[in-house]
Amino acid sequence: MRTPGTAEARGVTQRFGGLTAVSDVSFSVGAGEIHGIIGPNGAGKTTLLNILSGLQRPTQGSVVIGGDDVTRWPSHKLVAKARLVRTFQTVRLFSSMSVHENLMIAARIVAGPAEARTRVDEALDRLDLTALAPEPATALSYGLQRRVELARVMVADPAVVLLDEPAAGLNPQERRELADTLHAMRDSGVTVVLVEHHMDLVHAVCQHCTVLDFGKVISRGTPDEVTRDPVVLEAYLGGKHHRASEVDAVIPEDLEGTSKP
Amino acid sequence: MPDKALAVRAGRHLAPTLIAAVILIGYVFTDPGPSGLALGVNITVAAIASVGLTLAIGGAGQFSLGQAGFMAIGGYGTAYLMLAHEVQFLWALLAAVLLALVVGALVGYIALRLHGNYLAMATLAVSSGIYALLVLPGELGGANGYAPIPFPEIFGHKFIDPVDQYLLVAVTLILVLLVSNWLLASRGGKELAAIRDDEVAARAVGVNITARKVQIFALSAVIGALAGGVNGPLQTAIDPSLYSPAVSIQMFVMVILGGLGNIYGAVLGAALVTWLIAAVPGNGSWALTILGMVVIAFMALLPDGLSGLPKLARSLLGRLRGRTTEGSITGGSK
Repeated sequence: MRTPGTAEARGVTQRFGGLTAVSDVSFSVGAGEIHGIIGPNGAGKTTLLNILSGLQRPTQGSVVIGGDDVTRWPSHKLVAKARLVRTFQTVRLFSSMSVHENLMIAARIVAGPAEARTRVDEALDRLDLTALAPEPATALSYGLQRRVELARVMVADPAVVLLDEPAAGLNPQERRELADTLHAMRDSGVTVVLVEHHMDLVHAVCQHCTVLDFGKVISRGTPDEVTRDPVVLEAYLGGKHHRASEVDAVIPEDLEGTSKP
Repeated sequence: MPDKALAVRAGRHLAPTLIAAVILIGYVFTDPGPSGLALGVNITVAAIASVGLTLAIGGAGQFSLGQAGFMAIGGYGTAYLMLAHEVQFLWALLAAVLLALVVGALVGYIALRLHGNYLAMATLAVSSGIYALLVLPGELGGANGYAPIPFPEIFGHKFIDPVDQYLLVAVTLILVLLVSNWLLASRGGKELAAIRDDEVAARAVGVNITARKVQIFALSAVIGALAGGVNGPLQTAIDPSLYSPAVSIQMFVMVILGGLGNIYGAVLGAALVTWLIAAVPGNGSWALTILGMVVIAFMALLPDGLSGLPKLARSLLGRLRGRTTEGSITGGSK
């Protein structure tokens, strides 16, 4: 059955030799939802994202996007047909190209030349990048490069967006802007899977979270529920019987003022 | 308005090709004589092949050391069909080029799994393999070579006059430059540049890496075969040494000297390397020694190759001007 905009992992396992990076992970994201994937370093979050975006074939399990089993789809088909796009932990813009050209590459995958140009102009406008369009992309500041990357995601007219730590390296002001952009994406019906360490951002935008540790799902629920889950506290802090207030001390909330969904 | 912008962009792209065309055709009117024309043919043929190689190396970042192998397919394929089966020149050339297309696509599939040095070694192996096959005694003459190949004939015109022969390869080069130009400016060319910049990011935005890599290797091979196929019949006799792995490496050097990715730079690189080999005495071996030093000098002084000369000139001018007007206070860090 086709259900546009949904994203699902079913029993996904990834082994690298003797190491099981992701072990029997299942979760499902409804259309137009922002779903957080959190967990300590090395929990398997990025590996999971690589599998969801077709960069890696899982050892076991399947990925279902919009009702289609896409486990064996090559990534270009995932973009063109399932309308799934992603970003990376580090900014990966095309270094020989201008901001405009970076966006055009992505837009031309899914649209003809005229429509692609319109979409690029719209995305540049929405993210306040119009003045920077002719600049060499990698000459921009880090925060701006992040924004260009988001614009490059938008021009693909995505149904599902996978973001790998989009807030990494951003200051609080930029994080607030990112939260606004994510809200706008969700409001236009885009489904977002968000891997993130900044709990302030997760609290601000996510409806649901899946918590990974050592490749396994250890908790799921709303951001508030998982940050109060003793199992999650133990995974982050190492000991037993921590209280929620201690986690809040570890995970700062400096996103006051951002609207919750 | 967009149409006008497009026209301007196309014009800017075409200007260097026009200049190249004027120089290539104009050479005939400088009264170069038979030996000058023969050198012109050699340079132009090398330029065609190295432009093809540039598309793979500079356009898509795929390091290939096998261009001589594809030239051999073009040269021997065309010659064999013309001599043994009396096929018309253009049809023979077309068949040989199609064969190179298939082999090039196969190499492209290899390129899907290999990167950098490993890919370079694999392509060198393919080209060495083709060379080894040609050296084997057999219908193609082995190490003694293959002759006598009939002169090419197009629509009843036989290319016997050295001027005609030179013009044939010159026009071929101009066509190859036009096609390459168009390709690099097209959507496909931009996607190739994206692959060169960041292959993983290119995949993530939806570029079909498999198709693009196979296509660019096939095209690069086709242009290599075109160079070999046009040149073979002009030489009346060909032998495997024309297509040895050393020639592949010379091609690679031409592309490096040209600036790794600039098709006009590749033409200049081809001219420099071919002229050195012809002009320096010692049957090519001294030329190679000098070439090695030239490559080292380029790497140190002009990393953008011959195509970086205008930029170097500008920056030198800028530095000179900066020194005279700004003095040492600002340090010329403008």
